[in-house]
Amino acid sequence: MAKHNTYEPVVFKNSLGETISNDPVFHARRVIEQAESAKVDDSNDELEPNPYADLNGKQLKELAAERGVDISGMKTVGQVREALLAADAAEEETDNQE
Amino acid sequence: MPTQVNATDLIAWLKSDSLQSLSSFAGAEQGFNERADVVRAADGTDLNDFWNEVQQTIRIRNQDRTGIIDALTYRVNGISEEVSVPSEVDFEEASEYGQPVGIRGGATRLFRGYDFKFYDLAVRYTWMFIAEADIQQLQQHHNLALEADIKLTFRKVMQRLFNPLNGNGFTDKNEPITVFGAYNADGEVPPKYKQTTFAGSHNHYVTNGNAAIRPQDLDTLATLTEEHGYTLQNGYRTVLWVNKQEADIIKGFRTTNGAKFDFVPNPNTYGGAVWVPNNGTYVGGPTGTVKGEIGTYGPFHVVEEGYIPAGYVASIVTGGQNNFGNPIGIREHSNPAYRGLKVIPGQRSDYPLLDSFYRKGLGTGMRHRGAVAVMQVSAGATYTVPAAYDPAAG
Repeated sequence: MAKHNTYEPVVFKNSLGETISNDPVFHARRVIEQAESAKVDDSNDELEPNPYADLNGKQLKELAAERGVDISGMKTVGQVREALLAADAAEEETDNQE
Repeated sequence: MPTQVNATDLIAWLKSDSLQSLSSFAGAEQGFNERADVVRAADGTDLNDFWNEVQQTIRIRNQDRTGIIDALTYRVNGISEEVSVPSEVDFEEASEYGQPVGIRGGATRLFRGYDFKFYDLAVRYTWMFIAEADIQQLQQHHNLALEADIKLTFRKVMQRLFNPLNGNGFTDKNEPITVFGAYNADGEVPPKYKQTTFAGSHNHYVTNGNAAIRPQDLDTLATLTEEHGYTLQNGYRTVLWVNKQEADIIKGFRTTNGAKFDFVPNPNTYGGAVWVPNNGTYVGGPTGTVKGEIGTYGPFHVVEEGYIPAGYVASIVTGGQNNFGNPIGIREHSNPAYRGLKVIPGQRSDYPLLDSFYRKGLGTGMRHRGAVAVMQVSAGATYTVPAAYDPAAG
Protein backbone atom coordinates (compact mmCIF):
# COMPACT_ATOMS: atom_id res chain seq x y z
CA MET A 1 0.00 0.00 0.00
CA ALA A 2 2.76 2.36 0.99
CA LYS A 3 4.52 1.53 -2.29
CA HIS A 4 1.57 2.87 -4.28
CA ASN A 5 1.24 6.00 -2.20
CA THR A 6 4.86 6.99 -2.73
CA TYR A 7 4.84 6.21 -6.47
CA GLU A 8 5.55 9.33 -8.52
CA PRO A 9 4.21 9.13 -12.07
CA VAL A 10 6.35 10.42 -14.93
CA VAL A 11 4.95 13.79 -15.99
CA PHE A 12 5.69 16.34 -18.69
CA LYS A 13 4.57 19.89 -19.36
CA ASN A 14 2.97 21.18 -22.50
CA SER A 15 3.98 24.56 -23.87
CA LEU A 16 1.08 26.17 -21.98
CA GLY A 17 2.67 25.07 -18.71
CA GLU A 18 0.03 22.42 -17.96
CA THR A 19 1.18 19.14 -16.45
CA ILE A 20 0.53 16.20 -18.77
CA SER A 21 1.26 12.51 -18.51
CA ASN A 22 0.56 9.14 -20.10
CA ASP A 23 0.83 7.39 -16.74
CA PRO A 24 -2.46 5.74 -15.69
CA VAL A 25 -1.62 6.52 -12.04
CA PHE A 26 -1.44 10.22 -12.87
CA HIS A 27 -4.90 10.12 -14.48
CA ALA A 28 -6.34 8.04 -11.62
CA ARG A 29 -5.07 10.53 -9.05
CA ARG A 30 -6.48 13.40 -11.06
CA VAL A 31 -9.92 11.76 -11.09
CA ILE A 32 -9.74 11.26 -7.31
CA GLU A 33 -8.72 14.90 -6.82
CA GLN A 34 -11.65 16.06 -8.92
CA ALA A 35 -14.02 13.83 -6.97
CA GLU A 36 -12.73 15.18 -3.67
CA SER A 37 -13.01 18.72 -4.95
CA ALA A 38 -16.65 18.09 -5.87
CA LYS A 39 -17.25 16.63 -2.39
CA VAL A 40 -15.89 19.80 -0.77
CA ASP A 41 -18.22 21.87 -2.93
CA ASP A 42 -21.18 19.78 -1.77
CA SER A 43 -20.30 20.26 1.88
CA ASN A 44 -19.99 23.99 1.25
CA ASP A 45 -23.57 23.96 0.01
CA GLU A 46 -24.70 22.48 3.34
CA LEU A 47 -22.92 25.22 5.22
CA GLU A 48 -24.82 28.02 3.54
CA PRO A 49 -25.87 30.58 6.18
CA ASN A 50 -29.49 30.54 7.35
CA PRO A 51 -31.11 33.73 6.00
CA TYR A 52 -33.23 33.98 9.19
CA ALA A 53 -30.32 33.55 11.60
CA ASP A 54 -30.11 37.27 12.40
CA LEU A 55 -33.83 37.73 13.15
CA ASN A 56 -35.03 37.63 16.75
CA GLY A 57 -38.19 35.92 18.03
CA LYS A 58 -40.47 38.91 17.54
CA GLN A 59 -39.27 39.58 14.00
CA LEU A 60 -39.62 35.89 13.11
CA LYS A 61 -43.17 35.82 14.47
CA GLU A 62 -44.14 38.90 12.42
CA LEU A 63 -42.55 37.47 9.30
CA ALA A 64 -44.35 34.14 9.75
CA ALA A 65 -47.67 35.94 10.16
CA GLU A 66 -47.00 38.07 7.10
CA ARG A 67 -46.21 35.03 4.95
CA GLY A 68 -49.01 32.91 6.41
CA VAL A 69 -46.71 30.26 7.87
CA ASP A 70 -48.34 28.34 10.68
CA ILE A 71 -46.04 28.41 13.74
CA SER A 72 -48.62 27.46 16.34
CA GLY A 73 -47.25 25.10 18.96
CA MET A 74 -43.64 25.99 18.26
CA LYS A 75 -41.56 26.75 21.32
CA THR A 76 -38.15 27.85 19.99
CA VAL A 77 -36.91 30.38 17.42
CA GLY A 78 -35.02 27.51 15.78
CA GLN A 79 -38.30 25.76 15.01
CA VAL A 80 -39.71 28.99 13.51
CA ARG A 81 -36.61 29.47 11.36
CA GLU A 82 -36.92 25.87 10.12
CA ALA A 83 -40.60 26.45 9.33
CA LEU A 84 -39.73 29.57 7.31
CA LEU A 85 -37.00 27.70 5.43
CA ALA A 86 -39.45 24.88 4.70
CA ALA A 87 -41.94 27.43 3.38
CA ASP A 88 -39.20 28.92 1.17
CA ALA A 89 -38.40 25.50 -0.21
CA ALA A 90 -42.08 24.75 -0.87
CA GLU A 91 -42.53 28.07 -2.69
CA GLU A 92 -39.42 27.43 -4.77
CA GLU A 93 -40.69 23.99 -5.75
CA THR A 94 -44.08 25.44 -6.72
CA ASP A 95 -42.36 28.10 -8.85
CA ASN A 96 -40.28 25.44 -10.58
CA GLN A 97 -43.36 23.37 -11.36
CA GLU A 98 -45.05 26.39 -12.90
CA MET B 1 -38.36 55.01 -77.49
CA PRO B 2 -35.49 52.51 -77.75
CA THR B 3 -34.03 51.72 -81.11
CA GLN B 4 -35.19 48.38 -82.50
CA VAL B 5 -32.25 46.15 -83.48
CA ASN B 6 -32.76 43.00 -85.43
CA ALA B 7 -30.88 39.81 -84.65
CA THR B 8 -28.57 40.05 -87.65
CA ASP B 9 -27.40 43.56 -86.69
CA LEU B 10 -26.91 42.50 -83.06
CA ILE B 11 -24.65 39.60 -84.04
CA ALA B 12 -22.71 41.87 -86.40
CA TRP B 13 -22.15 44.34 -83.57
CA LEU B 14 -21.05 41.63 -81.13
CA LYS B 15 -18.50 40.46 -83.68
CA SER B 16 -17.24 43.97 -84.44
CA ASP B 17 -13.98 45.50 -83.16
CA SER B 18 -15.65 47.55 -80.43
CA LEU B 19 -14.46 47.02 -76.82
CA GLN B 20 -17.83 45.70 -75.77
CA SER B 21 -18.01 43.09 -78.48
CA LEU B 22 -17.22 39.40 -78.16
CA SER B 23 -14.10 39.87 -80.26
CA SER B 24 -12.25 41.00 -77.15
CA PHE B 25 -12.21 37.26 -76.41
CA ALA B 26 -10.14 36.17 -79.39
CA GLY B 27 -12.06 33.70 -81.42
CA ALA B 28 -15.72 33.46 -80.62
CA GLU B 29 -16.93 31.13 -83.26
CA GLN B 30 -20.67 31.07 -83.48
CA GLY B 31 -20.99 33.19 -80.30
CA PHE B 32 -19.53 30.62 -77.93
CA ASN B 33 -16.28 31.31 -76.05
CA GLU B 34 -14.05 28.36 -76.57
CA ARG B 35 -11.95 27.13 -73.67
CA ALA B 36 -8.69 28.16 -75.30
CA ASP B 37 -10.06 31.63 -75.98
CA VAL B 38 -10.76 32.63 -72.42
CA VAL B 39 -8.30 30.55 -70.41
CA ARG B 40 -5.23 32.49 -71.47
CA ALA B 41 -3.05 34.63 -69.23
CA ALA B 42 -2.24 38.23 -70.06
CA ASP B 43 1.26 37.28 -71.20
CA GLY B 44 -0.19 34.83 -73.69
CA THR B 45 0.42 31.66 -71.71
CA ASP B 46 -2.16 29.03 -72.39
CA LEU B 47 -3.59 28.30 -68.98
CA ASN B 48 -4.48 24.79 -70.01
CA ASP B 49 -0.76 24.21 -70.47
CA PHE B 50 -0.21 25.74 -67.06
CA TRP B 51 -2.78 23.39 -65.60
CA ASN B 52 -0.82 20.47 -67.02
CA GLU B 53 2.31 21.95 -65.47
CA VAL B 54 0.58 22.12 -62.11
CA GLN B 55 -0.28 18.46 -62.33
CA GLN B 56 3.26 17.51 -63.33
CA THR B 57 4.94 19.48 -60.56
CA ILE B 58 2.58 18.01 -58.00
CA ARG B 59 3.56 14.57 -59.23
CA ILE B 60 7.25 15.44 -58.96
CA ARG B 61 6.76 16.96 -55.52
CA ASN B 62 5.02 13.87 -54.26
CA GLN B 63 8.01 11.80 -55.32
CA ASP B 64 10.58 14.31 -54.15
CA ARG B 65 10.48 13.66 -50.44
CA THR B 66 12.23 16.20 -48.36
CA GLY B 67 15.28 14.72 -46.70
CA ILE B 68 14.43 15.70 -43.17
CA ILE B 69 11.02 14.04 -43.30
CA ASP B 70 12.11 10.99 -45.20
CA ALA B 71 15.00 10.22 -42.89
CA LEU B 72 12.49 10.00 -40.07
CA THR B 73 9.54 8.33 -41.65
CA TYR B 74 8.13 5.38 -43.47
CA ARG B 75 4.92 5.58 -45.51
CA VAL B 76 2.13 3.33 -44.34
CA ASN B 77 -1.47 3.16 -45.46
CA GLY B 78 -3.25 1.29 -42.70
CA ILE B 79 -4.68 2.34 -39.37
CA SER B 80 -2.22 0.09 -37.61
CA GLU B 81 0.55 -2.35 -38.33
CA GLU B 82 2.75 -4.84 -36.57
CA VAL B 83 6.28 -3.58 -36.02
CA SER B 84 9.27 -5.74 -35.18
CA VAL B 85 11.82 -4.51 -32.68
CA PRO B 86 15.30 -5.91 -32.01
CA SER B 87 14.94 -8.96 -29.80
CA GLU B 88 16.45 -12.37 -29.25
CA VAL B 89 15.51 -16.00 -28.76
CA ASP B 90 16.92 -18.66 -26.48
CA PHE B 91 17.57 -22.37 -26.69
CA GLU B 92 16.00 -24.42 -23.98
CA GLU B 93 17.22 -27.67 -22.55
CA ALA B 94 15.77 -30.53 -24.56
CA SER B 95 13.38 -32.91 -22.87
CA GLU B 96 12.99 -36.60 -23.68
CA TYR B 97 9.42 -36.31 -25.00
CA GLY B 98 8.74 -32.67 -25.80
CA GLN B 99 9.05 -30.58 -28.85
CA PRO B 100 11.39 -27.57 -28.66
CA VAL B 101 9.84 -24.13 -28.41
CA GLY B 102 9.46 -22.52 -31.82
CA ILE B 103 10.86 -19.21 -32.97
CA ARG B 104 7.89 -16.93 -33.55
CA GLY B 105 8.98 -14.69 -36.34
CA GLY B 106 12.37 -14.27 -34.71
CA ALA B 107 11.40 -10.92 -33.29
CA THR B 108 9.11 -9.17 -30.89
CA ARG B 109 6.16 -7.73 -32.76
CA LEU B 110 4.08 -4.86 -31.48
CA PHE B 111 0.98 -3.12 -32.81
CA ARG B 112 1.36 0.54 -33.69
CA GLY B 113 -1.48 2.88 -34.62
CA TYR B 114 -1.71 6.03 -36.73
CA ASP B 115 -4.14 8.90 -36.83
CA PHE B 116 -5.43 10.34 -40.10
CA LYS B 117 -7.13 13.51 -41.31
CA PHE B 118 -7.77 15.26 -44.59
CA TYR B 119 -6.51 18.80 -45.04
CA ASP B 120 -7.38 21.12 -47.90
CA LEU B 121 -6.62 24.50 -49.33
CA ALA B 122 -8.41 26.32 -52.13
CA VAL B 123 -7.03 28.54 -54.85
CA ARG B 124 -9.65 30.73 -56.46
CA TYR B 125 -9.27 33.16 -59.31
CA THR B 126 -11.82 35.37 -60.94
CA TRP B 127 -11.84 35.22 -64.70
CA MET B 128 -10.78 38.86 -64.74
CA PHE B 129 -7.72 38.03 -62.61
CA ILE B 130 -6.76 35.29 -64.99
CA ALA B 131 -7.30 37.63 -67.91
CA GLU B 132 -4.84 40.09 -66.38
CA ALA B 133 -2.41 37.79 -64.55
CA ASP B 134 0.81 36.60 -66.07
CA ILE B 135 2.20 33.11 -65.59
CA GLN B 136 4.50 34.13 -62.71
CA GLN B 137 1.57 35.26 -60.60
CA LEU B 138 -0.20 31.98 -61.14
CA GLN B 139 2.95 30.00 -60.43
CA GLN B 140 3.45 31.88 -57.21
CA HIS B 141 0.09 30.73 -55.85
CA HIS B 142 0.82 27.19 -56.90
CA ASN B 143 4.22 27.27 -55.23
CA LEU B 144 2.67 28.61 -52.05
CA ALA B 145 0.31 25.63 -52.04
CA LEU B 146 3.23 23.22 -52.55
CA GLU B 147 5.11 24.88 -49.72
CA ALA B 148 2.03 24.59 -47.50
CA ASP B 149 1.93 20.87 -48.22
CA ILE B 150 5.54 20.40 -47.14
CA LYS B 151 4.92 22.50 -44.03
CA LEU B 152 1.87 20.44 -43.10
CA THR B 153 3.71 17.14 -43.39
CA PHE B 154 6.72 18.52 -41.57
CA ARG B 155 4.62 19.93 -38.72
CA LYS B 156 2.77 16.65 -38.22
CA VAL B 157 6.01 14.65 -38.15
CA MET B 158 7.74 17.06 -35.78
CA GLN B 159 4.72 17.14 -33.46
CA ARG B 160 4.89 13.36 -33.25
CA LEU B 161 8.61 13.59 -32.58
CA PHE B 162 8.54 16.19 -29.78
CA ASN B 163 5.15 15.54 -28.16
CA PRO B 164 5.29 12.77 -25.54
CA LEU B 165 1.52 12.41 -25.18
CA ASN B 166 -0.11 9.45 -26.87
CA GLY B 167 -3.01 10.27 -29.16
CA ASN B 168 -5.94 8.52 -30.81
CA GLY B 169 -6.55 7.34 -34.32
CA PHE B 170 -9.69 5.75 -35.70
CA THR B 171 -10.18 2.62 -37.72
CA ASP B 172 -12.46 2.40 -40.73
CA LYS B 173 -15.13 1.18 -38.31
CA ASN B 174 -14.57 4.26 -36.14
CA GLU B 175 -12.92 2.25 -33.41
CA PRO B 176 -10.26 4.20 -31.51
CA ILE B 177 -6.69 3.02 -31.59
CA THR B 178 -3.77 4.40 -29.62
CA VAL B 179 -1.22 6.48 -31.51
CA PHE B 180 2.03 6.20 -29.60
CA GLY B 181 4.93 8.55 -29.11
CA ALA B 182 8.38 7.26 -28.22
CA TYR B 183 8.52 5.41 -24.90
CA ASN B 184 6.77 7.79 -22.55
CA ALA B 185 5.94 5.99 -19.32
CA ASP B 186 2.49 4.97 -20.53
CA GLY B 187 2.79 1.52 -19.00
CA GLU B 188 4.00 -0.37 -22.08
CA VAL B 189 6.98 -2.44 -21.04
CA PRO B 190 9.70 -2.38 -23.74
CA PRO B 191 10.93 -5.86 -24.70
CA LYS B 192 14.00 -7.14 -22.94
CA TYR B 193 17.21 -6.70 -24.93
CA LYS B 194 20.17 -8.83 -23.89
CA GLN B 195 20.37 -8.44 -20.12
CA THR B 196 18.56 -5.13 -20.04
CA THR B 197 14.97 -5.14 -18.85
CA PHE B 198 12.66 -2.18 -18.67
CA ALA B 199 9.68 -0.95 -16.69
CA GLY B 200 6.39 0.53 -17.86
CA SER B 201 7.68 3.92 -16.70
CA HIS B 202 10.52 3.83 -19.24
CA ASN B 203 10.79 7.30 -20.77
CA HIS B 204 12.58 8.76 -23.80
CA TYR B 205 11.61 12.42 -23.22
CA VAL B 206 14.14 13.76 -20.76
CA THR B 207 15.96 16.88 -19.62
CA ASN B 208 19.71 17.13 -19.13
CA GLY B 209 19.46 19.03 -15.83
CA ASN B 210 21.85 21.72 -17.03
CA ALA B 211 21.59 25.07 -18.78
CA ALA B 212 23.86 23.96 -21.67
CA ILE B 213 24.45 20.72 -23.55
CA ARG B 214 27.33 18.58 -22.25
CA PRO B 215 29.15 15.53 -23.65
CA GLN B 216 27.60 13.23 -21.04
CA ASP B 217 24.14 14.33 -22.21
CA LEU B 218 24.87 12.90 -25.65
CA ASP B 219 26.10 9.69 -24.00
CA THR B 220 22.76 9.50 -22.16
CA LEU B 221 20.87 9.95 -25.43
CA ALA B 222 22.98 7.27 -27.13
CA THR B 223 22.27 4.86 -24.28
CA LEU B 224 18.52 5.45 -24.50
CA THR B 225 18.37 4.00 -28.00
CA GLU B 226 21.30 1.58 -27.82
CA GLU B 227 19.89 -0.25 -24.81
CA HIS B 228 16.99 -1.32 -27.04
CA GLY B 229 19.37 -2.79 -29.60
CA TYR B 230 19.58 0.15 -32.02
CA THR B 231 23.37 0.16 -32.19
CA LEU B 232 26.00 0.93 -34.78
CA GLN B 233 27.18 -2.68 -34.46
CA ASN B 234 23.69 -3.92 -35.31
CA GLY B 235 23.74 -1.86 -38.49
CA TYR B 236 21.63 1.08 -37.34
CA ARG B 237 22.50 4.66 -38.16
CA THR B 238 21.80 7.23 -35.45
CA VAL B 239 21.30 10.88 -36.31
CA LEU B 240 21.52 13.63 -33.73
CA TRP B 241 19.42 16.60 -34.78
CA VAL B 242 20.40 19.86 -33.14
CA ASN B 243 19.84 23.56 -33.47
CA LYS B 244 22.78 25.87 -34.26
CA GLN B 245 22.86 26.86 -30.58
CA GLU B 246 23.69 23.31 -29.51
CA ALA B 247 25.72 22.54 -32.65
CA ASP B 248 28.20 25.29 -31.83
CA ILE B 249 28.84 23.73 -28.43
CA ILE B 250 29.01 20.13 -29.70
CA LYS B 251 31.63 21.15 -32.27
CA GLY B 252 33.96 21.79 -29.33
CA PHE B 253 33.58 18.38 -27.67
CA ARG B 254 37.03 16.75 -27.34
CA THR B 255 38.38 13.86 -25.30
CA THR B 256 40.96 16.27 -23.87
CA ASN B 257 38.06 18.27 -22.41
CA GLY B 258 36.59 15.22 -20.72
CA ALA B 259 34.29 14.07 -23.50
CA LYS B 260 34.03 10.38 -24.30
CA PHE B 261 34.62 11.03 -28.02
CA ASP B 262 36.02 13.72 -30.30
CA PHE B 263 33.68 15.65 -32.53
CA VAL B 264 34.88 14.86 -36.06
CA PRO B 265 33.85 17.51 -38.60
CA ASN B 266 32.33 16.52 -41.93
CA PRO B 267 35.08 17.00 -44.58
CA ASN B 268 32.52 18.48 -46.98
CA THR B 269 31.77 21.32 -44.60
CA TYR B 270 35.27 21.87 -43.25
CA GLY B 271 36.26 24.31 -45.96
CA GLY B 272 39.41 22.44 -46.98
CA ALA B 273 41.09 22.84 -43.59
CA VAL B 274 43.00 19.94 -42.06
CA TRP B 275 41.55 18.35 -38.96
CA VAL B 276 43.85 16.38 -36.69
CA PRO B 277 42.46 14.43 -33.75
CA ASN B 278 43.85 15.26 -30.34
CA ASN B 279 46.00 12.16 -30.05
CA GLY B 280 47.03 12.31 -33.67
CA THR B 281 45.18 9.12 -34.60
CA TYR B 282 41.73 8.82 -36.11
CA VAL B 283 40.35 5.43 -35.18
CA GLY B 284 37.02 5.67 -36.89
CA GLY B 285 33.43 6.75 -36.59
CA PRO B 286 30.07 6.27 -38.25
CA THR B 287 30.65 5.81 -41.96
CA GLY B 288 28.97 7.75 -44.73
CA THR B 289 27.20 11.03 -44.27
CA VAL B 290 23.58 12.01 -43.95
CA LYS B 291 21.97 15.12 -45.38
CA GLY B 292 22.91 18.22 -43.41
CA GLU B 293 25.63 16.47 -41.42
CA ILE B 294 28.19 18.75 -39.78
CA GLY B 295 30.22 15.91 -38.31
CA THR B 296 30.12 12.89 -36.06
CA TYR B 297 30.29 12.47 -32.32
CA GLY B 298 30.61 8.91 -31.05
CA PRO B 299 27.81 6.92 -32.68
CA PHE B 300 26.00 10.04 -33.89
CA HIS B 301 25.81 11.71 -37.27
CA VAL B 302 25.33 15.26 -36.01
CA VAL B 303 22.97 17.28 -38.20
CA GLU B 304 22.47 20.99 -37.68
CA GLU B 305 18.91 21.84 -38.57
CA GLY B 306 17.18 25.17 -38.06
CA TYR B 307 13.81 23.48 -37.66
CA ILE B 308 14.93 21.87 -34.40
CA PRO B 309 14.00 24.28 -31.59
CA ALA B 310 16.92 25.79 -29.71
CA GLY B 311 17.36 23.97 -26.42
CA TYR B 312 16.31 20.56 -27.75
CA VAL B 313 18.30 17.70 -29.24
CA ALA B 314 16.75 14.66 -30.84
CA SER B 315 18.43 11.32 -31.33
CA ILE B 316 16.86 9.32 -34.13
CA VAL B 317 17.73 5.90 -35.46
CA THR B 318 17.18 5.97 -39.20
CA GLY B 319 17.45 3.47 -41.98
CA GLY B 320 17.53 6.05 -44.77
CA GLN B 321 15.01 7.58 -47.13
CA ASN B 322 11.51 6.20 -46.48
CA ASN B 323 13.15 3.15 -44.95
CA PHE B 324 11.12 0.42 -43.30
CA GLY B 325 13.23 0.83 -40.17
CA ASN B 326 12.49 4.53 -39.73
CA PRO B 327 10.84 5.38 -36.44
CA ILE B 328 7.83 7.47 -37.48
CA GLY B 329 5.07 6.29 -39.79
CA ILE B 330 3.28 8.67 -42.14
CA ARG B 331 -0.12 7.18 -42.79
CA GLU B 332 -1.65 7.75 -46.17
CA HIS B 333 -5.06 6.69 -47.40
CA SER B 334 -5.66 3.02 -48.12
CA ASN B 335 -6.97 4.00 -51.56
CA PRO B 336 -3.98 4.90 -53.78
CA ALA B 337 -6.07 7.58 -55.50
CA TYR B 338 -6.16 9.59 -52.27
CA ARG B 339 -2.46 9.43 -51.44
CA GLY B 340 -0.10 12.38 -51.64
CA LEU B 341 -1.00 15.94 -52.56
CA LYS B 342 -3.91 16.08 -54.97
CA VAL B 343 -5.35 18.92 -56.98
CA ILE B 344 -9.07 18.67 -57.50
CA PRO B 345 -10.92 20.78 -60.03
CA GLY B 346 -13.52 22.90 -58.28
CA GLN B 347 -17.08 23.62 -59.35
CA ARG B 348 -16.15 24.49 -62.93
CA SER B 349 -14.50 21.43 -64.34
CA ASP B 350 -14.04 23.11 -67.75
CA TYR B 351 -11.93 25.83 -66.13
CA PRO B 352 -10.19 24.07 -63.22
CA LEU B 353 -7.88 26.98 -62.50
CA LEU B 354 -10.73 29.29 -61.57
CA ASP B 355 -11.62 27.31 -58.47
CA SER B 356 -9.40 24.38 -57.53
CA PHE B 357 -8.69 22.56 -54.29
CA TYR B 358 -5.41 21.18 -53.01
CA ARG B 359 -6.09 18.19 -50.80
CA LYS B 360 -3.80 16.12 -48.61
CA GLY B 361 -4.68 13.25 -46.30
CA LEU B 362 -2.15 12.12 -43.73
CA GLY B 363 -1.54 11.03 -40.19
CA THR B 364 1.45 10.04 -38.12
CA GLY B 365 2.42 7.63 -35.39
CA MET B 366 5.57 6.26 -33.81
CA ARG B 367 6.55 2.87 -35.21
CA HIS B 368 9.76 2.16 -33.30
CA ARG B 369 9.24 3.63 -29.86
CA GLY B 370 12.76 2.89 -28.69
CA ALA B 371 14.45 4.38 -31.75
CA VAL B 372 13.85 8.00 -30.76
CA ALA B 373 15.02 9.95 -27.73
CA VAL B 374 14.49 13.67 -27.17
CA MET B 375 16.36 15.76 -24.65
CA GLN B 376 15.48 19.24 -23.49
CA VAL B 377 18.46 21.32 -22.44
CA SER B 378 17.09 22.58 -19.17
CA ALA B 379 18.06 22.68 -15.51
CA GLY B 380 14.51 21.59 -14.67
CA ALA B 381 13.53 17.97 -14.22
CA THR B 382 10.34 17.99 -16.29
CA TYR B 383 10.40 17.76 -20.07
CA THR B 384 8.39 20.56 -21.69
CA VAL B 385 7.00 20.24 -25.21
CA PRO B 386 8.47 22.97 -27.46
CA ALA B 387 5.80 25.51 -28.39
CA ALA B 388 6.64 25.23 -32.10
CA TYR B 389 5.55 21.58 -32.19
CA ASP B 390 3.00 21.37 -29.41
CA PRO B 391 -0.48 20.39 -30.65
CA ALA B 392 -1.88 21.98 -27.46
CA ALA B 393 -0.57 25.36 -28.62
CA GLY B 394 -2.78 25.13 -31.72
